[in-house]
Amino acid sequence: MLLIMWPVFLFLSILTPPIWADFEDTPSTDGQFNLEVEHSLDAGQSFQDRGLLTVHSIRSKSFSSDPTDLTSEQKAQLKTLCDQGDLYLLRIKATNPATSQSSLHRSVADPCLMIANAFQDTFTLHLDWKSQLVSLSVMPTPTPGQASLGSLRDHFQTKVAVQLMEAGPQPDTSAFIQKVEQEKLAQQRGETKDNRSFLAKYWMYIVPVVLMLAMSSANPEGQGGGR
Amino acid sequence: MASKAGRFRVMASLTTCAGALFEDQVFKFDWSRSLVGVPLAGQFWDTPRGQSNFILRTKNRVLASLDSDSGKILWRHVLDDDADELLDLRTTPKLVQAVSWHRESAFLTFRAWHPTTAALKQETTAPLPPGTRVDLAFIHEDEVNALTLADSGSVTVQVLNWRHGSPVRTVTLTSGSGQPLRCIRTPDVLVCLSVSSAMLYYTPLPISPKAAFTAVALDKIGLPVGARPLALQTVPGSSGLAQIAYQRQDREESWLLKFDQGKLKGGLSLITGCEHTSDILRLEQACANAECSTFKPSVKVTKLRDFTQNVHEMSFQFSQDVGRLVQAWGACEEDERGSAIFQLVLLTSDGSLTSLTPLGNQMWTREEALASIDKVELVATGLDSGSMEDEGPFQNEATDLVQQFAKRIRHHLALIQSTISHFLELNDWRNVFSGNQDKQLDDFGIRKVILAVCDEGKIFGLDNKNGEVLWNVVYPNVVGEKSYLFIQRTAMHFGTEPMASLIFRNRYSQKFQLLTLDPLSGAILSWEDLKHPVDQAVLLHQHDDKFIRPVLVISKNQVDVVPSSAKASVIKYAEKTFIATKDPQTNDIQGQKLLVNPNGFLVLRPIWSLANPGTEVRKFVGKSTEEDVHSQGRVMADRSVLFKYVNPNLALIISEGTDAAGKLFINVYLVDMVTGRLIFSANHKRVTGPYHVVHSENWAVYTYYNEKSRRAELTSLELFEGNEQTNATVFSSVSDVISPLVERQAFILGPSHISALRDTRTEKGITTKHILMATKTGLVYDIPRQFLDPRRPNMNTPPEMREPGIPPYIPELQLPQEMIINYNQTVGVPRGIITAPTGLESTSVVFVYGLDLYCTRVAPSKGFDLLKDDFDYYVIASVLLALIMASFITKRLSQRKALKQAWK
Repeated sequence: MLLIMWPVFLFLSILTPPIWADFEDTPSTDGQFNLEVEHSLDAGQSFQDRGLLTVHSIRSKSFSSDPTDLTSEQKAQLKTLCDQGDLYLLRIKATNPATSQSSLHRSVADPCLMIANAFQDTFTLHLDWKSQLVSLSVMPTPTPGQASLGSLRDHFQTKVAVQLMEAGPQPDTSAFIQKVEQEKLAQQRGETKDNRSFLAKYWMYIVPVVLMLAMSSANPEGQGGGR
Repeated sequence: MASKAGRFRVMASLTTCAGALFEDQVFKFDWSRSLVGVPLAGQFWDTPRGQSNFILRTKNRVLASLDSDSGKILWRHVLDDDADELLDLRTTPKLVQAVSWHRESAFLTFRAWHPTTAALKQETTAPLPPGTRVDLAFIHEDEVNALTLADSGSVTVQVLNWRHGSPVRTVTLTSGSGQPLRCIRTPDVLVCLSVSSAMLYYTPLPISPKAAFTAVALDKIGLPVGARPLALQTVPGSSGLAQIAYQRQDREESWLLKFDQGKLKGGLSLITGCEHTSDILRLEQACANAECSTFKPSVKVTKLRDFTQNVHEMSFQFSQDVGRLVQAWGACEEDERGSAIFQLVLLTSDGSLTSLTPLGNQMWTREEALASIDKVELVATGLDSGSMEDEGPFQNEATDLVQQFAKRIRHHLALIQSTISHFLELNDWRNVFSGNQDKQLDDFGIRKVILAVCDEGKIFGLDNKNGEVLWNVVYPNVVGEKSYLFIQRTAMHFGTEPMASLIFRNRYSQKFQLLTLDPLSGAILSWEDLKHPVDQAVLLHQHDDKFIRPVLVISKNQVDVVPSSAKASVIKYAEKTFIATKDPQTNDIQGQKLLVNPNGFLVLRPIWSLANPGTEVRKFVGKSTEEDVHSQGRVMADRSVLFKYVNPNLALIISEGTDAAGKLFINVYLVDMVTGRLIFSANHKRVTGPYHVVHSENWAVYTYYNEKSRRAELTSLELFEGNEQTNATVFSSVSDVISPLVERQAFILGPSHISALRDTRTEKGITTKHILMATKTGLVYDIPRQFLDPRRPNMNTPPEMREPGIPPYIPELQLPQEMIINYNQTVGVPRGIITAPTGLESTSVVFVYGLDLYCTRVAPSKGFDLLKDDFDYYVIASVLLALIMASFITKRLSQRKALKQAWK
């Protein structure tokens, strides 16, 4: 039933300076992941080793990275990818050393943004509430200044961020009940303070008086005009 | 927008718009149709006053009584619980008795109703041992027999007392067939069929403690050689008949068995018994041509006495496609002169009921297939004056400016011509003014054709104005499972006919087939076999030079384009086409990119993945490709602008799993479908389905049932970029680095069972969105989006800090009665809602389907571009005329006065 797919169109636009917010939540459970990263510089036809990433602990955010050096040829390939508007594909084998279970994940990034940010990227690990790896997203780490291909470093400088699944929102009944009870108490004590403005409170007295004044001042003039 | 302004010929009148309906407005803009579903069994029942009723039970768990003279529903009972199955129905002179079986809780319920008032007279529940399965149950005399058909071929009969539900005895009948039997009962015999061994087993009723099956081989009783038995059917209204449906040389035929005093007396060659007499009606169907491809059978009815003596004969030709005859019910009477008086109700394989008289006249018909709509689309007729779509950027290269101009002129000429001919053909000029306009002219694009594909293999085109069936196509081989319906070309393109395509699996050949038809006329354009089994099919966004939006049909590693002529345009946009597929084994979602390999074939290359460890995807909802988002931001209380995160490639996924305690939980993801980036993920524990999702603009709403609090809840999400907008003109998922703010809030829903959720759609997205929510009780609520806004402020927020138009947060959603758009027209068992924009920005067409159908229009921001319903044209016109005349007269008078003065 749910074999739905989705045609999507992307519009490559002018590059904008990226904004990256670091992760907010502190993980509640500890976990370890070994990530074997491979990347493709020919839009997915072949994959090459990019290095190893080890996340020692999700809680303490500690990780170490062992990147494979890029050749100048590979850098040029990346530049070609960017020029052709292709995508930079990654294949990551994630292994949990505790359970020795491994899973294969794929991710994609914009090669132009990678070059613009001088090969600095952030791997975000999205975990579900059981601390299982759901997906990995690769985003360039924002760096000031435009990097040129010549000045690029020889390997990727990678950071790791972890995003945990949040608990879904619950209807906030307690605040509402509290408020209702407070109102009830206040009513019982007769404490309901009328904080309306003077006009709002006494308009029913003011309006007739004003009307009376207006009529009594208008009438003699009209009669006078008649004569 | 400026071009559209001309379309709004009527001025806004916002001030006085009633939220509810007046009594005289009932069925002015809406219609409803009550259905009962495709019958499984039926019986005639005569009221003490001599009127004849037809009491039936149907596939949709409905027990109903129809007036057999007019076919109108007299009363109807729908079983509440989805797990409740209606197994038997019996009418006695004073009662309608029914046995239903609750699958999950394992108990039988015996109910009895009064046949005319439908008042419940008795309700007894008989719990069976847990784990019991009941496949068949029937009432015999004062006992209920519940049958379990075991895989070994044996049948266990539990006999229970009708009044108290207490068990009387349990009998096990063994057949020795290694396969489960198929059983039915005739009034005094239980008959079982073993399909594989072509054997028949029977035992007389009531089933005594020492009962055993009598076995007969089918060829011994005269079944033709080479026949493959399919099913065993009862012959309604007869005293001792059963029939075996069998297949021989790709044709289904049936063979009649006659039982007398609990003994098999031999076979005959669709027959129905004649209630009240011992006569039978033999129906022979013949097709107009040998292949039966028109599905318009002619029926020859012969009334037989004692199986041989021909008493009456008549024939009837169906005027439209109905498939083949499935079942018939007859009621007979004998008048003084001995001539035949009978009524015949025929059920055909398309799910329609036809009632016939002895002279072969049709009394009434009912289209019950509409009670089980599987796929539905609203198709614009394209008859309104402004409906010609801009050809868009895709067409600039193909057709030059002159051609486009010429085409537009031709379109307008055709419109003028149709308007003139419409006026010439009008017989009664009063119709123009009284609002009974001809169907052909629909200035505001409100008229739609409801294209409905039903489970019974019938496709309908309904008029959304009054529910009239415009056309129907019979397709007895359509299977509901894995079928796709797409509108490939709309009627908005002048000079081409609209095109809808249905991809389905043929029930007999198991092959996938493609059917294309014109949704406005029902004309079949093509019907072909697809080369490969279909895993997924998807409609692409862009159209080719013939304005056809191509469909990608994905089999394991093969991507085909339908129609194949559109392949060039698919290749052209392959670079920018991304598709998400679900792996049926691992439940992972994979993002794929469309590629053209060196051989010129289309292939998919996986680029991202989303693992669903231990969970199963239940909902996968993207945004509508046809949707327009009008405003880019929201103005806050401090006059700053909060910009919306409008990512057209975002999808919401709900996956369901079981936690360690065995309770269900759901994970909710918001995923960018191009890069696979997870924007948001949340988890709800101890919740169950049904899940419903609405995903639109920069927000999503989903409902679920909270098991812990035992109530239905709704969560609302809304995404914002922040106070600055990164790129106002284009959005690219690849270079998107925004981490949007996700506002969220949960609400408690009053109704506990939601059966459908949908948003309203308008042409330009200017009108505020409303959410339409159908509940199981048959009410359709129209909830303004502001009520579900996750930014509803805390109750303690002072008024000056609150954003305008957003009420403070109250956990329970207050749903007043005025929000129910179907007022007192309860929609029986709603299953889905579909909406479509109209030419009027304020108005959206709504179609609710389920057991009943209901169609109306809604105006979420009130009818700001509509004149009031009771607008007084005559007064305005006469005042205007009087003013013009007065100005002329006074002008003349003043001229004369000036002339006189000049002479002085």
